Amino acid sequence: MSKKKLQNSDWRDLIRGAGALKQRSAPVPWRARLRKLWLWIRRLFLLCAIGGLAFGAWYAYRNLYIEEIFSSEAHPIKKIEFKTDGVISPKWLTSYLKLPKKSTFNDVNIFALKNSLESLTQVKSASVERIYPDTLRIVMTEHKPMVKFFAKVDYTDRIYLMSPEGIFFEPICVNAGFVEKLPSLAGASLKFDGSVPQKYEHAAALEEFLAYAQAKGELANWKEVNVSSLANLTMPLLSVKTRNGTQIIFSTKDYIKQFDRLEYILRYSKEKGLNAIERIDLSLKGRADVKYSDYPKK
Amino acid sequence: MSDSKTIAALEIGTGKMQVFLGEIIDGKIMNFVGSGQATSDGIKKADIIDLYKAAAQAQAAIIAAERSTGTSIKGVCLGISGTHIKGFRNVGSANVAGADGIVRREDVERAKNDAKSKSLAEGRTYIHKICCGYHLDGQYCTDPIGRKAEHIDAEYWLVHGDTAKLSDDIHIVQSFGLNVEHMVFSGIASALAVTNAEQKNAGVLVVDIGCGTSDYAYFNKGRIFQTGVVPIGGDHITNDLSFGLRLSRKNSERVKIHCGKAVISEDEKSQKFWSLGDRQIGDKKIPMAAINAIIRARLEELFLILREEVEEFLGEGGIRELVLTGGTSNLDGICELASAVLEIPCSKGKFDSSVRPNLRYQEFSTALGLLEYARNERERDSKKKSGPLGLLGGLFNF
Repeated sequence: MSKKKLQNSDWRDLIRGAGALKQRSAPVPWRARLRKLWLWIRRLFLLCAIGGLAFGAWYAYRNLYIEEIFSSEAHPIKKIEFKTDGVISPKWLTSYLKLPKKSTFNDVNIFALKNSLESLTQVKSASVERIYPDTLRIVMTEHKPMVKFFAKVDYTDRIYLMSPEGIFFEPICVNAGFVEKLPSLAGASLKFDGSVPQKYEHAAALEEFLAYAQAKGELANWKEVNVSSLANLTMPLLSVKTRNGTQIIFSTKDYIKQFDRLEYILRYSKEKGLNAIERIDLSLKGRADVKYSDYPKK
Repeated sequence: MSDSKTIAALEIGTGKMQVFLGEIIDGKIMNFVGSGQATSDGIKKADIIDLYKAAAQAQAAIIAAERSTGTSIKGVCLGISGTHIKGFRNVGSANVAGADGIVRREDVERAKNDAKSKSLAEGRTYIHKICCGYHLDGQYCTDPIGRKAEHIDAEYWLVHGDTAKLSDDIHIVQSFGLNVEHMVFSGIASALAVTNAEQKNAGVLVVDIGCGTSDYAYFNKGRIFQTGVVPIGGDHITNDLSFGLRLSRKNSERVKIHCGKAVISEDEKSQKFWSLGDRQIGDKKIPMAAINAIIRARLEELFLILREEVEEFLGEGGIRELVLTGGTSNLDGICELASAVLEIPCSKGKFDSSVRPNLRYQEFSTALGLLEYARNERERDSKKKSGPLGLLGGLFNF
């Protein structure tokens, strides 16, 4: 700055100042230092925020296929990635979804697909995602069968499976042999929601009972579990019919003791050659009644 | 959407550092939001003698103001005073360029630039460049554009100060991370607070009698014609009382505030005042006549200096009224004395009705005037920005 210019300067030149500010050192008391520090912290924070946003944008650009999402050009779906914790097979799913060949991301309504899958009674929940550039990912969780249930709906015999939560569903891709081995539920008074029975209220009690039976290895021999007296307030009972035709009656208390007695009775009968057992009543407090159909008369 | 901006008015005075915070809404309305005050340190006769101490006190006042309102300020309208502040009149000339003899904006700009381009001595910096009006072929007018003339003169009152001292004032603000948005001579700021447009049109001399100096501004035809600083203030009266009555400064200040009068009646002359007030050993009775004589002498000196400085405006068409403001103007009888010396009617400053009653004190006139100055500047800026380009610029104004 020339000398003449300085002589004609305005006070604002002192602020913008090449001149005066450099000539003198500014007084900086502690309050001013703190305030300046705070100002710099705020600037640093702002810089970090801008940096974070920029990184986020960069990350999204690199990983989320922004171009594909926003581009008008749609890629055809090359692969359907399917995951389930149950038995529904990809083949069945493909035939069920009936997605046209060469269908693109834009053609697929993932919300409609999700609703369609969740309308299946066997499917507990489903999620459908577009994985750019060319993959459709379907993840499902299914109800697990505990017992089967026969019902006549619209003059047609139907078979339903019941999950441990008490949900009834029509089996999809469930092995016929596996269904055959499941005990059937009898004696339950169920209401129907359309063609499917509503949730069974005492499923938790039944699950506990069947878990003991499974642990003792008895479940495979059972053909039917009758729960008509399970809701009885004075004496709740469970009645089981084995594949040999034996009826076993359980109370809903102290399953360990009852299964121990059952084991003893079955072992004793086998040793004595008494195979035609008609009825075993384990619900009695201090004893168990056993009725043989071929017991030799004295 | 309303646009509001909080601005601080900082008065660096000899007696106190005063900060007023005002919110300028839509560039028009000034809403007073808070204040902060700290005693001055490191300042003598409005000049900074210890930069560090002065900065610490000013910053304490700013922090007090910020805490009182919970707002954070960025810009400061700085009021300055001191004996280093001088002013002079300069006239710039230009011939009217148009063949039709009509004065155009370009002609006015040439005359104005000529008036403003006067070089100062080394170490001096302009504070204000105030246009006092124009002369078209020797005839005074306020708006020459569109009128017919051969020659145009632009008359300017140029206020300047010592570069180093102005830098000190700026440093105090900037070292606290704040911007100096406006720098205003305290005399002008006080005049804005205590006079109305009618008084300014008729011709009014406003004198802000502060602690260390007395700043004055003379307005006529709605424009500033002259400003100046007289190096006499309330502190000089306190000093005189201290020497004359052999009292400490603290007691002298007490005497000045409680029984100090510029003019007293015959009855009051016989009255006496206890110097300490506790009637213990050392306390003595001081005749009111003695107190008055000391105060009167100093004030007469002040008004005589003032009279010399504005001599050319005393008379027909000149100063019609004298308005006193500032802390020392609270002395009883000061208006009578000023009126007697300057031979013009005198009154104390009257604040606009928009000023809150609890702020209508003469010692606050500078700070209030600074806020008013900032509001005026903001209003002028918003008018400039009101065009489409201005609005576009406003989008990028962080």
